[in-house]
Amino acid sequence: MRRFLRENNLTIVFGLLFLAALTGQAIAGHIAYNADQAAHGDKAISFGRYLTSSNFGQAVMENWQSEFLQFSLFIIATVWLVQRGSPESKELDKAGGESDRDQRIGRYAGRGSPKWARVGDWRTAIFGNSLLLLMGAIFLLTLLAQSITGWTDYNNTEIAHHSQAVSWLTYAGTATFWQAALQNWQSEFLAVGSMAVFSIYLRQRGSPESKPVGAGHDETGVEG
Amino acid sequence: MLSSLIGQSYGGGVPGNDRAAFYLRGMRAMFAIYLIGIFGSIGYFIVIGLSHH
Repeated sequence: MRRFLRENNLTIVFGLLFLAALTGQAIAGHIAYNADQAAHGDKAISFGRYLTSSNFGQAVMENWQSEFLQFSLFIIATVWLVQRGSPESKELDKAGGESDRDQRIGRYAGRGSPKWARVGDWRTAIFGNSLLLLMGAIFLLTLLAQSITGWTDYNNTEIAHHSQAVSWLTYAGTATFWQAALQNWQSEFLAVGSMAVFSIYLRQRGSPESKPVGAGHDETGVEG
Repeated sequence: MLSSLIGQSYGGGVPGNDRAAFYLRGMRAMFAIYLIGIFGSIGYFIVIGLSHH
């Protein structure tokens, strides 16, 4: 068990942090929702009912989609785009998909290579893009979930204000939906750009997200 | 298909080494927990969004 914790503590700790933050969001969201209900003279709802509300679902999915968009774009963009001096970038002359030898696929696969990297057919093509495929699929599904929960929440508000409910497609074209999406996207893009550029000149000793402390500022693609 | 892929990738190279295989299973378990948790949550929110409409 001790060895298991030592070898997996990055994903365990972030999983626990996620659960703690989600719990906090649910509690705070429930209080805020009921305060809004009281302000409008409506009845408060239970915590259990709030957890199954579109209001909560929209708040969670709105943030998930932007995070998975960020990583999906980062994965695909860093195949071709480079930043001299950044540990987040490949070396400048390696931009692109790289050779089979560099990627250790097909006949260049090693003894420990995954089977799908060795076979060299369609399975290698899928496996060679599997991280982007998964992260991209999660982004699209979370964006869909945000649009559905947001649509329901939007219509509940419209009906409460004696206005007309709208279709899902109409909601997906509203400024309300895109404001919620873009306010998250802009912060993710800024964070990625900042990480790429600040890590040229700044260091964090021991972190693989940083260059070694003694690495030159113009060394690219070197991780500590 | 996915389990065979992950098995081949990370757990298949240690025949006869039960202790190592046990810990590699732990690695696969973390992968599965994240995957199931994420897709389960997305499905949950889609269902509640549609059911309350």
